[in-house]
Amino acid sequence: MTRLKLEEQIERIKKDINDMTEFVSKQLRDSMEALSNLDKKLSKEIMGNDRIANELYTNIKERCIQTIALQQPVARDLRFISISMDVASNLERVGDYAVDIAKNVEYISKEPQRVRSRFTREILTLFEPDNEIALILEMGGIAEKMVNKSGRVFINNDEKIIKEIYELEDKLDSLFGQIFQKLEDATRNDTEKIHLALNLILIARHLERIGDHAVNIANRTLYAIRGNGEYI
Amino acid sequence: MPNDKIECKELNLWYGNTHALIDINMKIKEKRVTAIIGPSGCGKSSFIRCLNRMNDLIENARVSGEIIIDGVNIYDNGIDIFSLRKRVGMVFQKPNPFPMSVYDNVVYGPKIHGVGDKEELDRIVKKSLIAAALWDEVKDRLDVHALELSGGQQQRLCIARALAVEPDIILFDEPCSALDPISTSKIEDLIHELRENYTIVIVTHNMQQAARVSDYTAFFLLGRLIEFGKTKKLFENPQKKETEDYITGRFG
Repeated sequence: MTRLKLEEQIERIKKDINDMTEFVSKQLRDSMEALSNLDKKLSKEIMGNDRIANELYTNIKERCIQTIALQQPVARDLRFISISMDVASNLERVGDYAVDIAKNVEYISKEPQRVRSRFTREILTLFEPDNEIALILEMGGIAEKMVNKSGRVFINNDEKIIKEIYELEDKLDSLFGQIFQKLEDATRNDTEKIHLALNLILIARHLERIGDHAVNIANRTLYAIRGNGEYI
Repeated sequence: MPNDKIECKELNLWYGNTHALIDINMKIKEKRVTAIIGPSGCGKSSFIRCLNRMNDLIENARVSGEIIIDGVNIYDNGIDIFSLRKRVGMVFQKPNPFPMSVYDNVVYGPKIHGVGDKEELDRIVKKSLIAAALWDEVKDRLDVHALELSGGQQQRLCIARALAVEPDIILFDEPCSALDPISTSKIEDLIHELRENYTIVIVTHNMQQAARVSDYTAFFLLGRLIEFGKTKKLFENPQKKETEDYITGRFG
């Protein structure tokens, strides 16, 4: 094996992307926990932690640019490094959406006591599978799985997992449709719920967008592996 | 789509018992830059030396197959090697100006080919030196001894000397390996300009240089042509594992 310095940089970039994947996944997981407990403190923490995601992104991008400048990679190395910047950028957006969800949780927790207590009661007592909150939490679980898988797909060049990501995206989209319908129905006769419903639909929308970013990563990985311009 | 200027068919080259080039088939496009890359001893210099029959000068060298330039096999009996080398100029690794003035270096070829008129020779000198991007630096001292020029200027003088006999094809055999980065980038810019009027084949050890200057790249290994295609494709997504291993520096 030659080009040890280049190899070292590539391994380092892989490690950084792995760390960033884990970090934004945790932000996303926390945002779901904050939603299910209406936890304002945790929401604030998520918002404060966004700085870390941004730093991770900047570091990866800087390392990639330096590696291109100093090591002049070509072919699969060049594809890996340039796509790493894309992957980091997609992960950074996932982090942003986790923060947006935390903000929505904060708005929800500002609801009048009676709406909020009903909301909390709904979460506690109406946790049957079809409840919109349960559906959102399910979306959150799927989105997190997608982000985790996409990070792993990229680092390990594992094409097989890509199909699973596409399937999860379909599931995520269908859940989004169901939630949209339920919230529309729920607000039709209960205008007091509109503010709550708007925040919930935004959260669902953020989760759906997170899924899109995971799919972006999967597609870019196909380019990194195959060099096929179709996925660039 | 540019025309094919040079076509190699089943080209083989032996030096005694050593089989240096094995079944090379490739078509080199007119007025494009084709880079030949590959590790030392892969046959890349041997290959371009076949294109103007420089290998004829080596004892024991034997060629089979065809190299067709403008429809004529240059290995046919009856080919006039001097007029072939007039059409296919060559620039070498180390600048090798003749030990004479700048002016005399440039007119050397045209004089041999029968140009005697002073005005015509002056015109050729100016035209060739402008084309080689050297005119502005030497126009007031054409009588200076060529070896007084810097290495980069000497190399451009060699290019001017090659251009003076108005070739169609110019072969560059690692033209920048003895030059500093500034002189190198001048030669690279020059190759880019020359591409408008000439078919260029360049052998280089510097892969970044191949990527920068060429339209097409051929990768040679152990005397065989492994991969040949558009440079941007070859450096972004090579099709053969050997090419990938070589250009990414993971060879062996």
